[in-house]
Amino acid sequence: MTTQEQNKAMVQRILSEGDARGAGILDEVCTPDYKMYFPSNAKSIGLEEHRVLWQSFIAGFPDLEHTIHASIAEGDYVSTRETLRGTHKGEFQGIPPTGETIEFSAICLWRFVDGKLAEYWADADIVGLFQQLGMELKPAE
Amino acid sequence: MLTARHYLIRISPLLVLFSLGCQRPSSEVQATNKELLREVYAAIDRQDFDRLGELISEDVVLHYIGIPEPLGRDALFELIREFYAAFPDYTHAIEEMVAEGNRVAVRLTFDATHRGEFEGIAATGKRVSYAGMHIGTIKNGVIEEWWGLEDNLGLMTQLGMQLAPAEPET
Repeated sequence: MTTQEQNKAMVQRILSEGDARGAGILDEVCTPDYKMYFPSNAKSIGLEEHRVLWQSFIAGFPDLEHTIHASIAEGDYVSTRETLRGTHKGEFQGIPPTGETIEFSAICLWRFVDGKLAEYWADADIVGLFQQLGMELKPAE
Repeated sequence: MLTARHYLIRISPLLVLFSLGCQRPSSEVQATNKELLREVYAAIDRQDFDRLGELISEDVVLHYIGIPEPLGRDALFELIREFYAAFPDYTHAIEEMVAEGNRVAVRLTFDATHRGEFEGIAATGKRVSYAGMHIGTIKNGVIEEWWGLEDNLGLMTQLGMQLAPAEPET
């Protein structure tokens, strides 16, 4: 297995184990100085904050499931195109559960160092997600 | 009479050319594909639709954030024209590129000034900066398929919008 194949397998493992048993998977696979950027030009957050963010999605959408449609690896990097799908059964960002099944797309970039996840950038259709939860863009007050 | 050594010297340049033509190392293909994407973003920023016509397949399929149905090339060019009408100084900055096989993933930052109406929002004169990631599939030297996901909430927030509960339809 090449390093790139190992890194791709690691991305698959992180997402499927995260879906199955929660964001605690990050503690097992990340470097101690892990950095996450969401959106991809944002100021980075660390491991603890990323775990809390991912867990807030799982609280809102307990059956949250990531499907990888494409993964592209070169050097230390993997890029993935994914769909996230789940049922809105818990409060999410202050929005009470609607029971709606939501689906939105993301493209992510993952950087590994010696098999550990060191950096992760994510861009996702957040407006699309919130529209499915009954929100819309309006001029700010 | 040619000695074996002379013979080798004569044919070796041909052998090199032959091997380049037939067995391009895969890393070279990826480097060429990355260069193609760099050219595409530069041509978009120049509004050079003649060049874009050479770099993007006429059968391209674009999957762009917020648009449910895939777009073809004419619709893509129209989308670019609309963006540059609203943001005439729009620029694509490439932050990272990852290539494998015939695909290239690109992480980008977009910078622009809001000078014309966009999504129903009158020009604000605001300077915006937001992020996105694209994945292009290249075949026969042109982009065949393109996925674009961008920080639409970040852009709209910078233009003075916010998420709020939708009004019930009347």
